[in-house]
Order: sequence, then C-alpha cells, then structure tokens
Amino acid sequence: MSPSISDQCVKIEFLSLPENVAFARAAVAVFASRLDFTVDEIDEIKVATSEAVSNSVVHGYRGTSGEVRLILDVQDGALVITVEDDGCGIKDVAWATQAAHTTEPEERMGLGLVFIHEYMNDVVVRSKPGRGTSVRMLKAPVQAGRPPESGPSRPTPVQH
Amino acid sequence: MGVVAKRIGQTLIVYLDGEFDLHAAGPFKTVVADAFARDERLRHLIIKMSDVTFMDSSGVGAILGRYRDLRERGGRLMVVGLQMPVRKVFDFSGMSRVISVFESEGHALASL
Repeated sequence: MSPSISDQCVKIEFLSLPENVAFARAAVAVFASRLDFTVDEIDEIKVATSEAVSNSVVHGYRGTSGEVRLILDVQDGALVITVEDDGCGIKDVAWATQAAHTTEPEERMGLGLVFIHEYMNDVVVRSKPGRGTSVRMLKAPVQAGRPPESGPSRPTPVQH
Repeated sequence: MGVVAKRIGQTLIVYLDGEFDLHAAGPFKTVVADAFARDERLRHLIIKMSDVTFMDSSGVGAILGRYRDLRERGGRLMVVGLQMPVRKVFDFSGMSRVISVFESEGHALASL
C-alpha cells in the first residue's frame, strides 16, 4: 500500500473470483471520474485494473479463494490504484514483467504486466514469495495539463 | 458476456457481446470446444465482436488459444467488427499480425 493516503482514499476488499474482476473495473472507472480523464484514458485504466486483479486471481491465488484489496486514491492530481493480494507472490518480478512470461499454463500469454506498463504512467510491483503481491499504478490526466513524465512506463521491479 | 454460436457449412460463427475478460473467457472456450467436439465438419471459426465493449489479455489469450487449435487442424480463425477500445488491445497484443479482421460476417465467409 502507498505510504500515505489522502482524504479521498477508498479501499475495497473482495474475494479472488473471476466475476469480481468486472466489479473492480467498474469501481475504478467511477472513482477515476473524479479526475479529468478522457474516455480513452478511462478505457486504459480499466484494462490495467483488470490485468492487475486478474493476476491476483490467476497467479496470486491460483484459483483458490483469497482476499484482493483495491485501494484508490488521488495524489498530486493523479489517480493511484493499488491492487494487493496475500497469494503466492512472484519469485522474479523483472522476469514476470516481460511479455510471454507466465507461471501458469493458461492463455493470458503473460501479457498482464505488459498491458499495465503500457497503459499507466508509473508502475511499481512489490512481491514476496509466499506472502503476496502489490501492484501500484499511477496515471495522471493528460488534458489537465499534467503530461506524463515519460511515455509507457519502464518496469520498476521491487522485491523484498 | 453473451456467447451465441451457429454453424454455416464448415464454419462456426460465435457472437459475443459485453466484456471479454477472465470471467468471460471460460464460457467462450467451452462453447467453441463443445461445438468442434460435436461436429467433425467444422474447420473454421469466425468471432463476431462488434458488440464487445471491453477486452483485456484474458480475452486476447482465449482468442489466440483457439487460433492455435484451428491452425493445427488446418482451419482459419477470423474476427469481425472490432470497436475501440477493443481494437487498441487487439493491435497492441500483436494479434492483428496473425488474425484477419473483417468488417462483416459476409466478407469473412467470402474469404474462405
């Protein structure tokens, strides 16, 4: 979770069920409407959220039931989304961030983190094997005069 | 997401609507697998996506999985009617390099 939160912060907890991925997307879209995002930017935020929550369901808990925490905040005019789970964690975050790298024989192609990095301005993945994973994603509205510092964010793997 | 399928000759046409995500990928794969298991005449798959409003990498993976299956059987997979933002995800994932996209079912069927 981010070290500090604003008075706009919202925290939602739900079970790691595939049907809750759509719920997370809808919640984030509603929260993001507080900022001056374009329709295209909201679409990108929904994809990134969907990927992070799907990763918790598929990779974090591997089909078993667990808690996913969605934390939404506004910091310095930017949307900050954090998706946390207490699942199996990622051994090598840098490896997992590369396209086509996946730990499961399913068909998401290891593209989840690739989409997140493409669609969000800044991404930090923290993970500890056996303890869980936290994905913190930041996006600032471009039309509000806050252009992103760079294009697609570069992976910022952090492991403890 | 809604999934409806019909057969025309050797082609299965699957009509999707709504959001193509992790939850929707399972029913889509089941409908396609069941149809091909039941009917040995089937060789090709057309996925009608005009009414799909959202897709993430779970949807991408479900389509690419069927693409691989069909290629092994000598069949083709075609997609019809991509709208934004689905088109953007489709292109970014690299699917547009291997899967043909048509404006209508008729155009897709005529290409076979």
